[in-house]
Amino acid sequence: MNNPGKILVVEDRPEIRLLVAMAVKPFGHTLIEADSGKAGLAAIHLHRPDLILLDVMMPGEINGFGICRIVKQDPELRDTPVVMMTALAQASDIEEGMAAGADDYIVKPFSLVALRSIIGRLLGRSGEEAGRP
Amino acid sequence: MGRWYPYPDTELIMLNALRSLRTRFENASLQRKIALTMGVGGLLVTAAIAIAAFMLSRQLIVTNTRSILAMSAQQQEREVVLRMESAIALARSLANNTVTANALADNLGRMTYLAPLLSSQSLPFPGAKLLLTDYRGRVVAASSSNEAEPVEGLSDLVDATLTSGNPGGALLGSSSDKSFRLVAVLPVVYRLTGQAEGAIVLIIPAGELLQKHAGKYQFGLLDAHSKLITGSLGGENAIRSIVHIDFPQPLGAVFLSVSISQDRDVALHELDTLFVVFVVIGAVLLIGVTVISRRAARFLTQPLSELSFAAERISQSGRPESIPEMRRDDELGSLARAFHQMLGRLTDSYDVLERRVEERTAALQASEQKLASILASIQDGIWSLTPDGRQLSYISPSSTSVTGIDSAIVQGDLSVFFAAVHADDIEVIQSALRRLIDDGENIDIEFRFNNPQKGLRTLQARAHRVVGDDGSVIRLDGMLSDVTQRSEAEEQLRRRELYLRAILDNFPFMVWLKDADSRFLAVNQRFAEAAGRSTGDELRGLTDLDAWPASLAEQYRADDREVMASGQEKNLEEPVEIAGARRWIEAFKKPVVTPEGQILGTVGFARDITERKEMQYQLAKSEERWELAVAGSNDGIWDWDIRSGTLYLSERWKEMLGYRDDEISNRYEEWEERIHPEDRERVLGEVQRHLDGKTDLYQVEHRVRCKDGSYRWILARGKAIRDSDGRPSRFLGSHSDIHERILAESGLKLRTAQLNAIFALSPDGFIAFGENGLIEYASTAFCVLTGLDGNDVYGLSERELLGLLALRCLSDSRSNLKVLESLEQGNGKVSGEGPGGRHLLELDKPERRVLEIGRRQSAERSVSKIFYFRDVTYETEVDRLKSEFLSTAAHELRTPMVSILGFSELLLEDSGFDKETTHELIDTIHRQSTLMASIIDELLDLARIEARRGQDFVLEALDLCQLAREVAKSFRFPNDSRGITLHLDVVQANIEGDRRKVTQAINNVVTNAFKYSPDGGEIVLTVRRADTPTGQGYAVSVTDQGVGMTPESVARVCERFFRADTSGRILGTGLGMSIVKEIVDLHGGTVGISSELNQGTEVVLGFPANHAQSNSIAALSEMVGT
Repeated sequence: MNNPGKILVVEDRPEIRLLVAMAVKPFGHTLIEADSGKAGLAAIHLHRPDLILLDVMMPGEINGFGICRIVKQDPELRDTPVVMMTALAQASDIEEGMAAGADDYIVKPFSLVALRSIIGRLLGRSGEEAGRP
Repeated sequence: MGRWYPYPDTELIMLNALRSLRTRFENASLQRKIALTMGVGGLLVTAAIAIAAFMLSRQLIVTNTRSILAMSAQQQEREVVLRMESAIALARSLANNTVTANALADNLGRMTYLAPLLSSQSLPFPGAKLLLTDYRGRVVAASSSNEAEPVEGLSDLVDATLTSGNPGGALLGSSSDKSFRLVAVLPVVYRLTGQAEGAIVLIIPAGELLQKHAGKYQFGLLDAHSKLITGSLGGENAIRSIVHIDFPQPLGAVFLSVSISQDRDVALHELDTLFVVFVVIGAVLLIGVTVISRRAARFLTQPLSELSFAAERISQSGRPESIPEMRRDDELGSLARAFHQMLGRLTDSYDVLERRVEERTAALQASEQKLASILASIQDGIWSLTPDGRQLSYISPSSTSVTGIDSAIVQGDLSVFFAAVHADDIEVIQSALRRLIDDGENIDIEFRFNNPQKGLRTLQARAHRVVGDDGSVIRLDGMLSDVTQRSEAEEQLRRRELYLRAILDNFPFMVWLKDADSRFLAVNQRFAEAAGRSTGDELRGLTDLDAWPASLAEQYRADDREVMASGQEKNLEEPVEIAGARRWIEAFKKPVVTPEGQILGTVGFARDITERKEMQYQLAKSEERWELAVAGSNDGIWDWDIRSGTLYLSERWKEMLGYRDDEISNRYEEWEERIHPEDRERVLGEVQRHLDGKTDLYQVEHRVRCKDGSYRWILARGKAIRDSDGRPSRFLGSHSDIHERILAESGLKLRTAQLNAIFALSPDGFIAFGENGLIEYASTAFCVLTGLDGNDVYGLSERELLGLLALRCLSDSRSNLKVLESLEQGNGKVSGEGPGGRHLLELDKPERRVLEIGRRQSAERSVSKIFYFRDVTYETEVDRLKSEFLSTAAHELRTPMVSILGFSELLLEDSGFDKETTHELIDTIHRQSTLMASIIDELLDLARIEARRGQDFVLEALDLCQLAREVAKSFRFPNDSRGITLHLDVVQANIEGDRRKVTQAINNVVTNAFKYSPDGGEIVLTVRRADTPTGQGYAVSVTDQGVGMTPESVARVCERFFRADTSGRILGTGLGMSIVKEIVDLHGGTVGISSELNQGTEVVLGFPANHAQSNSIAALSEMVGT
């Protein structure tokens, strides 16, 4: 219970990574940041995070959906919850994310309460689920 | 039974033949006789000469042959003698030779050399032999080793020689085998002793004496007794010559003869040829003799034959005629002259005789004619009977022709006459005759009589008594005449009346004859029946009043009066009531007028014409119906009588062309000249074809000229009526007005053509399915859109068409399959596919294309459904771009919102941040807000530029140099101290453009240059001349030494929201270059970018030069220059 869990955030925008970091800071999570899909995959294998926050639209060869698919097809990583963060708000985009195996989905811009609630739910934290520090 | 000789005596036959020949000879003409005699004489003489000549020749040839043979025999004999002499000389020399003598003494040596010596002697006879004997006659040596056959009598001869010492010779041989030999023995005498110690023997076969001559002769040797020794004597009849051979010593005692002979046939062979020659000559001679004898005979007999000919003619004609005079002095000549004189006399007396005969003949003829006329006038037989009527005292010859019995016979026996009378009539004659005899009642009866020549005839007999002065009956005179013809004529008349009656009664008409008072004289059976009577006779003498109802009868009487008064025939048809039924009667009534003009009454006949009336009525009705039908159909009728050339044209026909009935006459030309000139040939051709029987129905559409000169389309139909020969006699038919229809059709054609043109021009493709559900039309555009050949799709079903289209689609497109499936199922709409439920098909071939397919069921019967195809590739692409842009723009706007929302939320929920952190958060919020504002600004800018397409540009003459100077002077990038290095390659760069927009474009590019060279480096702004192939131009170039871009990024740099920087360090909307591109494009310019990663980037904006401006500036600078 003392270990609040490691969270990996894969996001090309530094200010959003900063925002996520600051949002989850009060809960004592260890936050790992990656600024591209490639770096994200490397971090997943290196740190074995308990939760992965994935930006969908990222420059580079692999985007969020791609990472999600890889994770969910890997037997060792399959159980790691994945949350997609995207400005793509259309139904088809959400469908695609779910098809890729994402556990949850959060549309940009999002409220920190909602973010914390999802993280808490997926990591089993009641406090976070309430969205309050 | 008489004796029967199977073969008549031959002599008898010969005798008969000779006798007949002789008879024939005696009967032949003189000419033939002479010719025959001379011919036979000539033949005999010729034959005798020929035989004599033949015999003489034969004798001559035999004699000649004999002499030749004799010469040959002598020659042969000399030859034999010569050879014999030489042989004997040889033998003698041997005998006298010392070698021979020595050899006789030398017993041992002689054997060795004597035989060769002997054999070396060449004898003139090949078969000759030489022997050497010792003193005792023993042979010690021989010329040939052959054992010499023993010769009979040789040893005796040798012994004789040895004894006497004289040579000897003889002919030796056996007569049995005829091997005769001539042997000569010559003693070998020792000179010392003079003794014959041996002998040389020469043996010559007799057969070798004669040399063999091949040829026609036979040789033989004869001994003293004429017996043949060797050779041949020839045949029995051979011609032979024999010569004695005079042999030399010591053979002088030998008597031999040589015989030479020749076969007589061979010798006489030549005579055969001669014989043929004789025969030919004989034949020629014979012919010559025959010809000559004929000529001679004719010469001799000609005057005679002429005389006989003349006599013959006189005998035939019975009158003398002059004959040609003979000018000959011989006996025949005098005979002819005498004959001639005799003829002259005869002729004279004949003329006298003839005249007398003529006179007598004329007199005879005159009396004969008289007699003939009298005879001819009496055709009846005239007869007289004795008063008791039992004997016929006279009967005229003419009665023969009446009775057919010779009058002479009848005269002798009256019963002959009665035998010929018909059995039934004998009694009549007998009684009439009795009455005449008894009562003096004249006879006038007719009876049937069997005329043996003419058959049964009817005869009339009339007779009366001739009373003498004393009142006693002298005789009964009568006449008999043949009245058969008269009675037959009466019979025929009676029959004819019966026939006429029968005809009238069986006539299908009622016939009647009335007198002037209208009383019936005669009516036929039919009339009687119609009047209710059983026979016509019942009506005789009655009037119409007795036959018909009163009203009818009165009418008929009136008719009769009218006919008689007018003298004219009356013909009427009227209805009558007969037996309660209404019938129609046709009656003809005519007056009966004598040649003198007197009217005797009336004749009439009538018939029932009810059926004909009925038919006429039906016909009239049907004609009426036809006319009604024609009038109802509104067709014009024409009826062309081909023979007369008249053409009946109905009122409607004329009306169709705007004429009144009386404005067109009934002539063929009226029709023909109104045909449209373009149609005339075709129409007349069709008419001819129909008249020729090539078409069943004449049917042709053509134009006819109307009264107002315009042409109207009509449909002509007709049919020719043909006579029994198949020739068309009448041609009739109708004209239908089809003008409106033709016009409508041509309108339809035009409209179809228009529609086709429209469809061909339409960018949308169409396919029309016919009634049968198969493709009947595919527009050009369809073919272009789908790349299918129109000819390939004609006749395809909908399913097959979709199959073809499926082959051209992207095979993996799920939406395509769904569309095709849906179309195939025939659904009008496809649920949830494409905007508004459109059917969009993405084709891969012939090129990538999106087609919208529409499917319409057609209300028309002829077109079952229509597919249309619209190329919506561009439209779809725009749609796609639009939605992509929207989602990208949303994304770009949402991203800064994340920071703004998130950081402001952080600040709100917790104020426990230190001041620095708080400031940082607010700063971030501010920056992201600014970014968002600029994104919105630029989006709006872009939208406006795109929407207006440069229409809101305020165009003016701009100098790029001036603009560049202004940018370089005023531009400041936040937190950057660098300035802009300005390079102006030209003094002035005049373009036409919107000042604000061009400045914005330059600013955007310069901003990027600063943004993407965060680590410094010179920013150079250059204005230079940049001519393009299309014209003069100027370019503004911005160069930095920043991060640069990959080629992929360069290609995408003008896309909206594309950002070369992905690190997030450089803020930007991703719209700047899009705006630049839009602005430059709208100015007709170009954007060029060259970049290298980590080296820098150069962006060149090219603008076309403003010509007017640059020209004026150039002029100005020239002025300044001067």
